[in-house]
Amino acid sequence: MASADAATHDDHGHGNGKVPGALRGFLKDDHEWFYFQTWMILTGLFIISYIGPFIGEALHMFAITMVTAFGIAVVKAGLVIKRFMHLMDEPKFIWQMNATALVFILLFFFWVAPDVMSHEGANWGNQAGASITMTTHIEDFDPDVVWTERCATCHGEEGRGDGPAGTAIYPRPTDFTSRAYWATADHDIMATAILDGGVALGRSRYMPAFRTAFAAGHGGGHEGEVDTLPGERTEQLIARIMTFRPPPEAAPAPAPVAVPTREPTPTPTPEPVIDDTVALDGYGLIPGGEVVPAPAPAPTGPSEAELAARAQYIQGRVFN
Amino acid sequence: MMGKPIATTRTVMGVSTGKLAVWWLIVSEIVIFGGLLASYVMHRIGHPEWAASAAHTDVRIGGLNTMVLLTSSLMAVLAHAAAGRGDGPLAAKRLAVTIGFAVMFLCVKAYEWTTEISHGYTITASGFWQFYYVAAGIHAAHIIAGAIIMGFVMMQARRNHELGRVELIGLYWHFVDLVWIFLFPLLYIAK
Repeated sequence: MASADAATHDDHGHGNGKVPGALRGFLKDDHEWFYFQTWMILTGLFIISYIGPFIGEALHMFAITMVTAFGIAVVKAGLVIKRFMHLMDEPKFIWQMNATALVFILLFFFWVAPDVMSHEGANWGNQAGASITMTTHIEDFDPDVVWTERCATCHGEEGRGDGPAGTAIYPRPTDFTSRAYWATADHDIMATAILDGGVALGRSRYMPAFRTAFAAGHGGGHEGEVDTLPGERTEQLIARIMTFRPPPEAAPAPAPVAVPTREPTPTPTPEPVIDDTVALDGYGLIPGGEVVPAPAPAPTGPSEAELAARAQYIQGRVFN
Repeated sequence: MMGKPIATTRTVMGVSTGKLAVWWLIVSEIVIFGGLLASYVMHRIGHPEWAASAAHTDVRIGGLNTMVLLTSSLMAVLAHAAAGRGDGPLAAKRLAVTIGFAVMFLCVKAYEWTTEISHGYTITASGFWQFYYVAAGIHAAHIIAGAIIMGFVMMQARRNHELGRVELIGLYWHFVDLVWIFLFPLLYIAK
């Protein structure tokens, strides 16, 4: 037999609507129709909360997203509490119990949130969060400043991957002074890492994405908006990072070549002119870079040993 | 009175002891889920970089599960209405439909998680995903527990026994729905 509690809630006169004919087999009385109406309202609110954020994003109005997503969630919760759970029909102490729990949650939030939402404390720091937050307001882009304030926290001021945050994370941030790094460096990979973060490359999740931060205007660009600024700023930052590239290793001295006394001494061949800017094209870092041809060899030509030594030298300049 | 569960026969301060117990349970759940969600909100605000992770949750799947739970709540309250009229078999049928929606919710959730995990978004991927799996996981555990208990209540209701329990499990079920109403915008909409 139903308890007294179970029966009482339906006796408070929730509306007077009549059950439509099509639903009479499903809904037995006006109270059930009332519940069904509540469900329809909840469904309508859900649709608004689903669509609202898309509209807010299209109109670049964050307030619409907040109101439709969270404001409507509160309204929906109120409907469920009032009409499905019948909280208001219970003795006062029941909802006072619930309200007390909510008050403690709010106290917890407002006592703890100021610390948790901060990006630094006495003995800790949220470098990734701080980096993202600071870069969202870049307008006067200066790659040196961006490097110092945003990148050096992990990569180090000298680009050695030894910034204060970098020493605490694994995998370690890229060491831009490493020849091994530059041997395989790629312009597109660097750009992707800067714009879309390490996750986009399947690498470190600690490398944040700066595409939004580098976009035009406060708060970054918006999806669907053509904004070339992130790409341009990324190029400037890459150029800044390239200053960490180590100088080429000293070329090994060519092996002494035994020259037969009876044969004429070969004419010395001038060193090939290696333009550093052009050499970087070997990394794919300067799109469109052109190779400057070395001066034509003397007609008499070097020996094979000299050619080998020279090839080794050029390889050292270009790829290390 | 022998053999009759005391929770449905004794009242305290005008409320059956069974219902009072459920309300106490809900109060404790408010602290559990409230603390979890409050922690998520403050961390989400403090970690704007989480937006990159949040962008990978599927709002369509979250929306589908929202509708599944809202509809299951309707069926639970309709079962309560039927129990209030003393119609145990109808209440049992409606509870069975509610359980069906619970199973549907879990299947959708299983598909969703499988997809996310296969794409590398595991619980260790980032702070966001840790909160995501813990919050949604605890909620799913409540769905499972509620569905099992509802099964027992349904079997009793079919025989017109202990119809008061239909309201008790309904209260719990509405609370689980309530939690999801807040989880949905937090995890799926706030990118």
